[in-house]
Amino acid sequence: MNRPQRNLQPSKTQVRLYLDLVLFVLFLVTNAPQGTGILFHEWIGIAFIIPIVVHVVMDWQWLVSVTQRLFRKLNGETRFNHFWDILLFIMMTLVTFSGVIVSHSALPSLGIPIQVDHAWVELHEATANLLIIMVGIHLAMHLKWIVSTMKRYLFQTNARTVVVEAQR
Amino acid sequence: MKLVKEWLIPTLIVFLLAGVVIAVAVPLVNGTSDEGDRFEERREERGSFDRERDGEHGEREDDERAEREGGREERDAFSFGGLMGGIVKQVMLMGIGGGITLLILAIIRQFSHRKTPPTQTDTA
Repeated sequence: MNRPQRNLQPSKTQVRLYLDLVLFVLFLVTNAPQGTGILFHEWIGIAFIIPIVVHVVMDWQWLVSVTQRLFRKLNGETRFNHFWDILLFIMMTLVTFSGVIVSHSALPSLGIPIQVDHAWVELHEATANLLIIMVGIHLAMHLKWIVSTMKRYLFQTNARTVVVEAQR
Repeated sequence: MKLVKEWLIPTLIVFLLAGVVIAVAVPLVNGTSDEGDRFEERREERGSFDRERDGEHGEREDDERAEREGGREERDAFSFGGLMGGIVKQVMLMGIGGGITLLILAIIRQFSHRKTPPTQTDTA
């Protein structure tokens, strides 16, 4: 008798959810240098580039399709989301780059001397604080997706898995 | 091919766009910091002149260096309280941003519902 194969491969939505959770935790930890220490803050800030690029690339199709329809009739919420995502990207780039520029420990430990410029320090602090509020708005805009996906994959057993288990 | 189309090209575009942001930001920030640099230089010159006059130049520099080293060690240390405090601060800021957004969204949705022409039961 053929047993139905249990699908263990995570769906794209599932991967996206887990990645976003990791990204969120990393974001919280990175933005608390008073707790982690400057050295860890700097290295984790540099490492943060990888999950953020993956996060953007995973939504690439959506970005391309909305950009193509930007000057045509488009839902106001989608238009705002697109504009906000661009703004977030700019801010994230500025925070990361200014963080590298004012690095006290990470780059000097690699033998790259950095002369700290006060304007970059101010920019780094201001953009980092603003970025936290902006991420809050970004999360609120996607709250429906976050809640439904978390309910589906984290807090409840997948209905499909239950059916497969019952057939065994 | 799928890997190139779905991952490699978008990744390159993302880095390229980040490069554009940096290319625009660098001259802007350096322009504002030039003024500050000139002011700092003048202050440094005046400061070194004063120190030389006081004859405490070497001693003070050693103290400053020792203070900086001590500060660096302190800054690199892990602190659970600091971490929790930082996270709470962020959650609060995110909550403010997110809460206002949800409020605005709810108001917009309410008004966009009102836009639909009233039905007979609404007018009754």
